Parts: sequence; structure tokens; C-alpha cells
Amino acid sequence: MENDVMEQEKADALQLSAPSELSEIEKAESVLGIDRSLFEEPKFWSLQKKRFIKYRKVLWFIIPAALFSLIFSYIPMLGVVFAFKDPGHFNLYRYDLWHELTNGYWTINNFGNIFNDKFFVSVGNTLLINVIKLVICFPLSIFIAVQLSELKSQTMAKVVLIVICIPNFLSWAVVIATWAGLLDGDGGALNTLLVTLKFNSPNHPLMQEAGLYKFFVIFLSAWKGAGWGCIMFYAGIIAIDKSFYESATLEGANRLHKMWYLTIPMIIPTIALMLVLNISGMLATGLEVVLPLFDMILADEAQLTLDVYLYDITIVNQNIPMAATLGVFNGLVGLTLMIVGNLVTTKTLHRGLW
Amino acid sequence: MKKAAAILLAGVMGLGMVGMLAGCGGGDDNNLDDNPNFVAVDPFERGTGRDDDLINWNADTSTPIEIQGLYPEMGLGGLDVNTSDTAKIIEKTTGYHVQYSEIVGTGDDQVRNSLMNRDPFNFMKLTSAQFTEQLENETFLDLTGLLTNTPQGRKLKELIGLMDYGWDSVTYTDTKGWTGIYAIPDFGYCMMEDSALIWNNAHLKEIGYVNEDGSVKIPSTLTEVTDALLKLQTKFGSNTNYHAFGIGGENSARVTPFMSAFDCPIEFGVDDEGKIQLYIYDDSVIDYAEYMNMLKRKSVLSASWQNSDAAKLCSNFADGLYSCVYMAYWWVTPLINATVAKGTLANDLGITNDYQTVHDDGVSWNTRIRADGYSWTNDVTGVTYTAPVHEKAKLHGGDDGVSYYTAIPYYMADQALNTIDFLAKKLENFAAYYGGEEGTHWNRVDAPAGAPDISKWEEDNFCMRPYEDYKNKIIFMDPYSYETVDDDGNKKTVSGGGYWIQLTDRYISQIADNSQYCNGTNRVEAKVLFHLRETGFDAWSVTVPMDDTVIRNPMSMMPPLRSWSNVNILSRTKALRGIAAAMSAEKGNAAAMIENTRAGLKTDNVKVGNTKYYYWSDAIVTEMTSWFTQVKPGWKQN
Repeated sequence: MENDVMEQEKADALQLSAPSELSEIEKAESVLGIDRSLFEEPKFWSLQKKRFIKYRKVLWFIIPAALFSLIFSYIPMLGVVFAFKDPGHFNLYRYDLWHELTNGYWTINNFGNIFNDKFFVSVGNTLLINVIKLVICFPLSIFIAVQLSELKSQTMAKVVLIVICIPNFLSWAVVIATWAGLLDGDGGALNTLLVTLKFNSPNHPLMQEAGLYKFFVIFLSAWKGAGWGCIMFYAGIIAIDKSFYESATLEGANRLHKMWYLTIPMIIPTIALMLVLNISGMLATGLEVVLPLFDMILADEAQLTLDVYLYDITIVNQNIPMAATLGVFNGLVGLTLMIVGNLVTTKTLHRGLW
Repeated sequence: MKKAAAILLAGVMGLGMVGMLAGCGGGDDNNLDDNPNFVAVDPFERGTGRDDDLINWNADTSTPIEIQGLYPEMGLGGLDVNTSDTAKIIEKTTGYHVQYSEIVGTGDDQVRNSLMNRDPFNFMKLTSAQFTEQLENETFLDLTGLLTNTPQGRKLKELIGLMDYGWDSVTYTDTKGWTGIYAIPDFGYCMMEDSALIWNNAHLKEIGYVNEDGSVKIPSTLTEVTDALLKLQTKFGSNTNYHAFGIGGENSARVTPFMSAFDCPIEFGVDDEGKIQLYIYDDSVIDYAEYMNMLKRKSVLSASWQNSDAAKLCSNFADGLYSCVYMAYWWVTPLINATVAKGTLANDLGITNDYQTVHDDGVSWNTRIRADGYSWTNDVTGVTYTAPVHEKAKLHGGDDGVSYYTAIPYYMADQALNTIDFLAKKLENFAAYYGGEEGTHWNRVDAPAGAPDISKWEEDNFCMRPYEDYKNKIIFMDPYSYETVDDDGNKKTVSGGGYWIQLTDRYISQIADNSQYCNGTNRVEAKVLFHLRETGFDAWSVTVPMDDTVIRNPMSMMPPLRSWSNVNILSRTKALRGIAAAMSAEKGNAAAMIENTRAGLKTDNVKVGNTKYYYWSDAIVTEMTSWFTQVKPGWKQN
């Protein structure tokens, strides 16, 4: 009895919602066999489902990257909480993590304590190195990519590209050791040449000159990374439709014109992307280069960079709260720089990350 | 989007402002200048340890457990640390099987990570810096109770048998006021000259350093040494890769023979007011740095010396690119081997190119240089420096008494009794593994021809050898005898030595390099058996008698003082780098660079908790002086 009533209510409801009669358009659609649902915006989840089914094979490629990000980028972010622990009551040697997280002693003073002399010296050095790298190394990669694209022989271009990319596959330890050997004051091949050409005095090993520390960080970064850095730009250039160049030739453009008015504008999106990514890393110099070079060149605290400073706090002093604080600070500044960089490139180059 | 960016920017700036404000108000920069921390407390009198409740006092020591030990790099060459003769002897005599792990290089990070990971090492053999930096973290077990209340601990303590203040070196009073004993010390029992200047005889002959009998004259005074080095540089310096003098890197910046000639303390000195000062604050250091800087600017010392190492010294010496090198006795054999492999030196001298001939006739060494008032002028600043005049060549000691510390991580407390049992048994059988076994590693022989009458040898002169036949590896093993207790607590006498012995090749290959196996030092046997070692190394007599030319480090056997422990490694590194930088100074401003380093040591600091520890401060001076005056009254610098 109760079921009968419910069935009747359902039938009434359907009757109410159904159109009393079909419109002319709907009749036409019906006659032509057009499925109206095809023109309706699909629901969000059904769209995701369709996409998932369609691209399910591609997703396998994303899983490792996603896991990598999760394990090495997102899970470590839980450590941000250490930035608010009092270093004077934080002892992971004697007590376990849970004890340290639950014993109180929370503080915000760490964010004040990081602003000391070493911090300002290291931020200054880091920014100086990165600004110079941005001004020199970044355009250098674009320059190399453009020059490679101008080579008539594609085979030669590829050979050159492979050769200049080789340093990128060497570890920093090998790179530094190689250059240290070349510039060794006692028989280094390059040093001997420099001495012979009177560019260096006989008893003056360049890679022990603390004043040249920043120079070597920049120089070695350029030497190692310029080839690899140009790949993105080179890929962007070879993807440009050749008909544009043919048209430009017909219009009377010479190679320089084509390079300046066609090639570079066409890779502006890539340049913008790479620029924003470079700007967001302004507070990082790469520990793997600065630390061995720091020791090799016998640099002093006046040459400190943020990475070395953070290494000292974390590994040497084992001051986890301060290291976390500096890490949080670096992360926030990096994020801010990325946003600012994106705003700037959007305004000036009309391209950005989002 | 712009709104989100603005919010984020505001957030970052806000956080920065809050942080800066917090920093302004919250930085309790307590330095310890007015708060000396050294507290003269004897924890043995108390007899209990901080961690006694963690220890399993009923652990079964009758059945040996497997011991996991972390050691410094053993330096055994191709030997497997777990299967060497030493490892086998230790297992045979103690009954314990030990799994040996090594710290790679200096390995400070490795030790920290291992402790933080709670790696299950029963004990760790650590350097002073590695040990002291952990004391405030309460990472190591307080051994006071174990050493006081167990038969194994008491035996261990007795066999080590340090002088009254000896245990100070491993005693620490933490910020909570608890004084405990946190390690078993490996200590020196004699002053050692472990490094020397090694000369190329052919080169010395070429510059006229020849005695009337035609033999090579070894430069022995500061004037002679300087003269020889400058002449050598002039003679061979046309080759830009040649330098008369080679030092093996920044860690060798303190060239002991030169520093001693200038009366520089090697670690710590006592100033005019009787206060302890870090060596770099001694005026003589400027003379030393200026002297070395002069050598460097005349290319006698390579400008690349800071990045050099002992292996490079060996190869360059063999190639004739160095005429004199400063290196340790354990590098003598590789040096001679490299020189023989090249053959240049033997060819220059017209001698047979084999190890023994090159060792005996191709090279010479001196461990000390006698200061004779040598004077020179800095050609940039115009300042004239003059070395002192010594009647006899002096030696300033750099040892701090304790070379290594064997500590038990607190989280291994449940096996601590077994560990102490093992360490006691090991120390009881010290002679067996440290000196090797008769018949395998050495044999008794008759007194060699020309040896002095040993019966007249006074035991107190144990640091000086009456006779050593390096070529045939024959040495007199001093007689020794001491009393200890057996496992049941009954007194027993241990004795040995009193005869001539000849070392076997197996001793050289298996035992001579085994110092790192030690955990603690058997005070009696170590001083006798060490001489076997120096004979095996084929160098000079490393141990020296305590005569009037030997000046010990006033802080030898110093305790791990709180104000110093936190900056120990940082301070030493900065001072050493300061000396090295002064030696390398391009513009002849070595003195100014030393002054800079001195000033920097007083301003650089590390913050632990809310306390700033300066690299060198009045607090450190007060603490050190307090201990020094209490335990070494009447000590004299020169």
C-alpha cells in the first residue's frame, strides 16, 4: 500500500517535470537524430572520468613525478613545524621526535634570530652571484641556442649541442677537480699557459684566491650549464614554422633581422618561463657547487652563501629549528620572487607561468 | 590572481617583521664571560652515574655478545679490519667477536648522523671534537656507576691508571650541574715528534752542504735551514714547478720544528699573567707566520701548499720537485718507495737504487731546528724580525694528552655492562694485540753487536731508546711489571719484556699500523710496546725524553670544558686557517692577518640554545686557567 503511494508520487513528479509539448527546434532535432546532450556542458566528474579513461596510459608517466614530489617536496614540508621550536630545548640525539614535538617550548624568536651578520652576508653574496648569473649565463644560453639554429648544417648543430652539453653530465666534484688541476699552481696546464702569457704570476694559484670565489661559482656554472640551458631555447627555435622565415626572406629580411624580429619573439614564452624559474631560485646557489668550491678555494666567512650557511646550521651545528626557520624563509622568499617574476614577465613579455 | 599575490607578499613581509621584532626582544645573548663553568668534582667519590637507571646491571657477562664498534679510519692499507691479525687476537683473548665499522675521513657528520639514527654501536671511538660536541646533548652514557660499582669497571679503571687529574679529560659538568664520566680515554704516555723535515741528500750536496768527510751536512740551525732552502730555490727554481720546501696541506700549517724554533706554543700557551691562551695569541706566532710568508714569497714554499697532501709530497719529492718535505713518520716508507720507483735520487747520488740504500744514504731528516737568532726583514713592511737564540733545539708539544675517546651511546645502555666487560678484557690483553704474538710477529734474539749494556738502562728513560736497529728491526723490549686483579678479584702480577727482539715481516704488515684498534691505554704496556712500532715504521725515534728542551702543552689532559666544547673545532679551524692565510699572504701582511684572525676569534660565535659561545672568550680563558692552576701548579712555559 505504502509502495503504491510512492510510485504514484514518482509518476506525478515526472509528469510535472516533462514538457507539455515539444518545441519546433526539439522536433527538428528529433527528426534529424541530433543528440542534445552532446552540446551540453558535461558535468565535472563525468568529464574527469572521461579524461582519465582517455589518458590512462599517460598517467603512468606522471605517477613517478608525483610520488617524487610527494616524498621529497611535500612530506618534508611537515618539518616546517620545527621552525617554531626553541633550539635550546630541542635535542634529537637524546629524545625522539614525538617527545620533541610534544614537550612544549614553542617560539617565534627563531624568525628573528636568523637575521644575523652571517645571514646578511650570505644573502648578499647569494643575490650577487645569482643576479650576475641571470645577467650573464641566462642570455648566454639564448645566444648559444640562436647561434646553433643559424648553423646551416643540422648535423654540425647537433654535434656542437652534444659537445657543449657534456659538462652538464659531469658531477660538480669532477668539474671542480678538473679545473683545480688545470689551474694548479704547481704544473697545472692552464696555469702554466697563463703564467707563460704573463696573465698570472708564477706562484699564484688562482683557485686558492678567496677573492675569486664568486667568479669561479659563476664561471663554472656557466661552463657546466650553458649548453644544457640552451636546449629549451633551441627546441623552441626549431619548432618555429619555416614558412615564417621564407616569408621574411621574401620581404627582404636578412639573417640578423630574422634573428631579432622573428626567432627571439617566437621563443619569448620559453624565455619567460625560464626567466621566472630562474628568478624563483635567486636564493639558491646549489650546495653541490658552492660547498666543495668553498673548501677548495679556502674561502672565508665573507664569501658565505645561503646554501653553505644553511649547511653549517643543519649539518655542522645540527640546529634543526634554525635550519627549518631558514628553510621556511627561503621558501617564502622564493615563492614571492616567482610571483613577482611572473607579474613582471606578464607585464613586459606578455607571457607568464599562469 | 593579483589579490592572491598581494596577500602572499603581505604575509611574507608580516612574518619577517614579526620575526625581526621577536629577534629584537627575545635573543638572550648570554655570553659566559663572567660565568666560569669548570667545577672540580670527582664523580668517582659519588659513585653513581646519571644514566644508571638505563643500565642492565644484571646482564650476563659470562656469555660474550657480538660487539659493534665504530672506529676512526683504521689506515690498514689493504687489510680487512675484521680479519686482520689484530682482530683475531682480540677475539681470541677476550672471547668477544667484534664487528668493526670505520668512520670515513674526519667523519664528524657521520658520527652525528649515526648517533641521531641510533645506530646500534656498543661504543664509538671518537676524536676530541666529536666527543665534546655531544656532551651537552646527553648522548653518551655516564660511565661513573659502571666504573665504580662493577668488577669489570674497576679493573678497566685500574689498568688505565691515569694520574690524579687524568680522568678530568673525560669528565664533564653539564648545564644542569651534573658531573659525569663519559668515555674511556686513549692517552699519550710520552712526548712524540711525529713529523720531521726530510731532505734530499743529492740536492743538499749540490748546494755545498757537505761535511769534511764527504757526507751530507744536514742543516740544523734556523740560519742553516733558511740558507739551504733559499740556495736550493735559486739552484733549481728555474723550473716553475719546483719548490724547495713542501708542506702537506692546510692541516700542516703548524710546522712544529719551525714553530718550536720561534718558541710558539702548538696548542695553548701561558701568558705573562699566568692565563691560558690559544696559541695564536702568542706574539711568537707572528714571527713564525712572517717567516713562512717570507719563504712562500720567495717561492721556497709552493703557493699551492694549502691544497697539497702527503701523497703529493711523496711524488714531488721523488720527482725532485721538492728538496725538503715536512711529513709524519708513517709516510717515510711511502716516500722512500716513491723515490726508489723514480730512481732519480739514487742516480744523482750514484748509489744503488734500492729501498735500504735510499733510506740510509739518499735522505736525511731532522725533527728539530735550533734557533740561533736568525734575522730577516719583510721587504714590503720594512719590519725586521729576529728569531730567539736557543742553546739546544726545543720541542713544543701539541698533544692534548688524550688522543681518542671511547664512549657508549646512551641508547645502548642495556648492553653497557657487556661492553665494559669487553673493554676491560681487551685492556687486560693489551700487549697481545698491540705488540703482536711471540713467534708470529716477533722473536727473541741475542743482543746485536754494538748495542749498549742494557743492564745500565734506567727505566725512567723509557722515552729514549738506547739502541734501535731499524735495518734489521731489532729492538730491546723494556722489562715491565705491574699488579692487577683477576676475574675473581684476586691480585695478580703481569710482567714481560727484558730481552732483545726482532720484528717479523708479519708484524710490519699486520701489527705496526694497528693503533686504532685500541680502546683505552694500558699505561704500562703501551709505553714499552710503542717502541716496537717506531722501529717498524723505519723513521726516526718518535718518542722523546722529557728533558729541558721539551715543553708540554699546558692543557694536556684538559677536561671537556663547556665554554670550549661548543667551539673547539670551529675555533681551532679558524686559528689554523688564519695561520695558513698569513703564511700565504700575497702582500707581505702576515702580521696583519694574524691580528685579524685574533680579533675574529673574539667576535665569531656559535649560538647554542640561547647562549652565545665565542670562538675565544674570557670565559674560556677563565675555565681553562681555573683547571690549569688547580691541577698543574708550578708549571713553566719555557
